[in-house]
Amino acid sequence: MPMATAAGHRCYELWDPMPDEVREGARRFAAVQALNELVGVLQYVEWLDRAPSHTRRQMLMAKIQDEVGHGHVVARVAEDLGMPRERILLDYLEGRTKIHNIFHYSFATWEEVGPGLLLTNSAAITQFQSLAKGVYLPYARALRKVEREESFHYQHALDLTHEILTHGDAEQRRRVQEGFELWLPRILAYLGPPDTDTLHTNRMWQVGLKPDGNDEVRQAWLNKIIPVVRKLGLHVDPALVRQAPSGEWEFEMPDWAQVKKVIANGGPSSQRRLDWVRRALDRNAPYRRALQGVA
Amino acid sequence: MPHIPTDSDVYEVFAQSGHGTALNHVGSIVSPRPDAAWHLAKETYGRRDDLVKLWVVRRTDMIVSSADDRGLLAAKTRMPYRQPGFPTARRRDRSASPPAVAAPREGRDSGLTERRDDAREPGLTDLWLALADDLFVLGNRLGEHIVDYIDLEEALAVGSIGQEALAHAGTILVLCGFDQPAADARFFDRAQAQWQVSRVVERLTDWPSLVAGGLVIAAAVAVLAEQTAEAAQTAGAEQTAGAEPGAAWLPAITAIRDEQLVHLDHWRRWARALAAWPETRTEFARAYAEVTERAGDMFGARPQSPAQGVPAGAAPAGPALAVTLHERLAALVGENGGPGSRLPDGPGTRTWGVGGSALADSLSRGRTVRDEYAPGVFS
Amino acid sequence: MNADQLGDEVTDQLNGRFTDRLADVVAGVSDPEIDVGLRDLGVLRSVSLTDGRIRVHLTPTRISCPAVGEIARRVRSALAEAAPGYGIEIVWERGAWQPAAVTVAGRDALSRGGYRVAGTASSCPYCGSEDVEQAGRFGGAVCKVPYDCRGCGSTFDVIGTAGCTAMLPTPEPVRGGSR
Repeated sequence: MPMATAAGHRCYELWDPMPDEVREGARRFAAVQALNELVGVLQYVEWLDRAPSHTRRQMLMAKIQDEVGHGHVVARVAEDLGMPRERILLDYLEGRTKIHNIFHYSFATWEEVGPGLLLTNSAAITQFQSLAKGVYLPYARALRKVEREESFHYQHALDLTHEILTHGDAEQRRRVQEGFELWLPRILAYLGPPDTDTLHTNRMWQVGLKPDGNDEVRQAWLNKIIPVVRKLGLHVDPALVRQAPSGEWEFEMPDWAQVKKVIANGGPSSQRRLDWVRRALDRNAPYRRALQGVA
Repeated sequence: MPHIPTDSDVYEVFAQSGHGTALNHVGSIVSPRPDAAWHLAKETYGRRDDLVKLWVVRRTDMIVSSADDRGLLAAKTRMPYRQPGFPTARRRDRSASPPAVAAPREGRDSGLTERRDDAREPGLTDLWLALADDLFVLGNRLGEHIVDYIDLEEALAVGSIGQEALAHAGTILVLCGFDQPAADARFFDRAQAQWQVSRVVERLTDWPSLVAGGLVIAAAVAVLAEQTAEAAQTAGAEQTAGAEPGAAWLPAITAIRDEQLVHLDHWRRWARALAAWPETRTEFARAYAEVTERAGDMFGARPQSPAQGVPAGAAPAGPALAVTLHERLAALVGENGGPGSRLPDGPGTRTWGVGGSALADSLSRGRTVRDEYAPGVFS
Repeated sequence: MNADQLGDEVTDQLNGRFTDRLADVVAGVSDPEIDVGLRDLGVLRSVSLTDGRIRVHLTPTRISCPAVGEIARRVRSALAEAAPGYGIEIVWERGAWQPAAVTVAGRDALSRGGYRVAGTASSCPYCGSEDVEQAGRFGGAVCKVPYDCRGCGSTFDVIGTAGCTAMLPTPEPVRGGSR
């Protein structure tokens, strides 16, 4: 078992004494991820009963369940570090935590689901691969497993997009293209602001919970996904993203003020997400109490 | 504090597989009787390895530590654990099931008996196809409840049961000879008037009704699977005509039965919880009564027309079979320990076009994307 | 033995060897989610060859396994590359998977990925501790049951028996019934 990361940080198991900063940082990372897994699926839940075939519906349902399963996994990790799982959704409703920018949107068409899923999934995989190099080992192991399972949904997204692009009509192909152009900037923003000189002052980077900078992860993601997107037959507009002769990807910089506003529940579906969670928690409160009360 | 668990059907199994090894806890099993528990344990854990020792202990006969005891049990070397603020107890023990509530059996309505005016008696495939309709709608309804946040573990249960309901519906169609496009056409392109769902389906609205509906549908599928497996075994290896249940159905039908029994067990836990909890008792009793009194039609499928993909010449199941199945269903549903079941005394028949808004909404939303899809996508 | 019979036998042997090779190709196809081959996972049942047509019998770990489509696609593409020109038929045997069909190599591969197989000793795949507890009856996928290791704080899944730790008994009607 590795006791130090590539960067030379000491690694920690659950029972190891560790600096408060590491414990709190790992707890926060895991809790934030749990929240995003749990609320992030809502954009797919909205399409579950519109999925147009038995297979697609099963795939989508399996995806939703798997994301909730990942929420369960990382919530358990957070719980071990002192975060009661009940607080994960309450903190969100009470404004103490926020969901990622990408989860403040909904899909307008089924054709948009494929490219949206493809970009989101691949970015999450890259992100998890990076975080899995972190110093808190139970979380790192959970992430490696989650990342492998995500790659299965990535295959599904690829297949769904490919199906529509090869068999769909011109109108459907246009919607897939639009979906790609809509989601690409959102994912670029999801991977965080440029590091420039801020990375080395980031405590999470210093303690080894955030092994790579945002730019590194973003470049790794673009390296992987842009060739895939091109192979699918989508057009990659150089105004959105282009490769410099150095090999580095250049892209239109997101409007960070706007991104911040979206994350602060100012996105098109922000209120809908909050309402869903609040209503579901309220509606089911007596049943939850029944389950807990007699268990 | 150590406690004594309350689930009397659960047995813990300990086994030693070689002379050099220790006796280990290998898992637990669920069984209604101690002798059956012993055999099940032997079957489950002794299949691959020769066992030296096998212990089967009823969980309620054990004194087990609870999460709070961890501090007392922890080795002194694990000092970080004792530091203030370090997480200690979490996740309550969910294995203990709620106490059963003895509820008086309420008066039963007599079964809705309708005249069977179809040309032939329904066969086993007709019964399966009708249950596939129910499973499909149930699976979809459960899909919406994955993110109900009742709690994380319940979300995963609902997701698993929902996925399996959908998959069982699809598997039934495969067994009945449908290919993928035909199955899709059946689930997505039929008008409500061509569906033969149980009247339970129209009631699948709120959570207590879903618990009750999930319970009776799981019980019905398990009962029909058991019956079909018996019929298939009797038929032996010789191939039966068309897609009528034969030996080829056995592995799938057995797996469906086993999975549905797990679902049934899950819904029973819920039924016991909702019936025992003061806040939900009345609401659940009403939902349960309304669902069970609609469940007389579980095995009341009418013959389905060959044009819909059902092989002609299916062997008639006969009214006697419906009575047998219904009795088995009554026995299984009656065991749940919840409030009074209103399951009719005898089987009723199904009617075309019921399902209410639960089915109508599911169908119309299911068609929104499909209707405007380019025809090539599905071919 | 006449020449014809001898010829048949040689053809049979060659066919057999060719079929074995095809089976190895399918065995080398990996599960879409976990880094383990289909034979080691117990998913590959048999491969046969008749009249230029390869027939592959597979079984999903669970009836509702959402990966069947992706697995079939991978098998087709691997076979099409290894034996171009042959027809390929994939038969799914639903309900035939057994945890015991996972090979020793398969158990090791699953263990490396953070999984245990139902029916094996319940110990943590990461640290080997037996201080593990079930974290719910159902997992993130229909084939998985979630567990926590109290030894090292890792989460892992047991594959093969979602929803319960063992098969429930078959229903025995209290009254009525035909048995």
